[in-house]
Amino acid sequence: MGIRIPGRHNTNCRCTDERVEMALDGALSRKEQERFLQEVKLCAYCSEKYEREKSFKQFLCNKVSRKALSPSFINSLKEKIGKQPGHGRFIN
Amino acid sequence: MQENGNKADDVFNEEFLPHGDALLTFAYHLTYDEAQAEDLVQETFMKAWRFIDSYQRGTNAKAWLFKILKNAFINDYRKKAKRPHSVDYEDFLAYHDSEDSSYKDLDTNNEVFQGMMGDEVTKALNDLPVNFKTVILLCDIEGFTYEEMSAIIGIRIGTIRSRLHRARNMLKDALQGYAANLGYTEKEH
Repeated sequence: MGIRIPGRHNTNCRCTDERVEMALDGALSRKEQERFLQEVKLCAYCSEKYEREKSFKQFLCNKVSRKALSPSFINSLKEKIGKQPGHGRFIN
Repeated sequence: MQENGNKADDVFNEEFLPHGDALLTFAYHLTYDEAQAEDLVQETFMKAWRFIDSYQRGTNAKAWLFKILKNAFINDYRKKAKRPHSVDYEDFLAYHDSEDSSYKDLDTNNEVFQGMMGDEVTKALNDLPVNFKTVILLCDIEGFTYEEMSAIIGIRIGTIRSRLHRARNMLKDALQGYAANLGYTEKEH
């Protein structure tokens, strides 16, 4: 086990910024993800970075405004599609 | 023929329409205009309907629809849109390539960020160049994988990753600017 020094990588740490992002984006295999989560606990720098990036993703998810289609839009869309040739009358 | 029509209706209702809200959200952030966003979503669904025979039931409808929408946006809306302060994408990329590409740190748990309104965050996101905004929307808001994003945008996974990294840094810079006006100071590491 390496030494924990805040603000710097643990001397044995093999994590990279790239791996932190990949882990958060679900781009690592299950085994890689498990190994990453074990390793990240041993390095204060990576651990903090991982938590910050995770919070940032969550922050965006919570704050970025989302839109919803109105029922009138959906009805109008179905009407327009019903008038298109090729698949007969659109059935709701 | 009628049976084919009914099957197509089922696919449309069960596999396409459930993604309508996500498509509208994506379209809104691309155009930053509610009416244009609805037009874009309508065009997407019309095209999806026209090519519904080429869609294989049970496959990734969401990624397919997002790809149609993104192509419709590039082909039509970007040409039509009047952008008084448009920035040349390649110039912008070159500029940011020359900057430090290391992690930008931002403590979004800080109360200044937590107190930020969604409108402020949305504006910061919408101010990013469209190619950068797109990867954040697809990855962080819609949860697409790198492979799916690569298929939707039509660029290599390596480019997706580097663009995503830059986009997040740019967004953090922008948010830090907003936060600084609200009294936030960056923590020393």
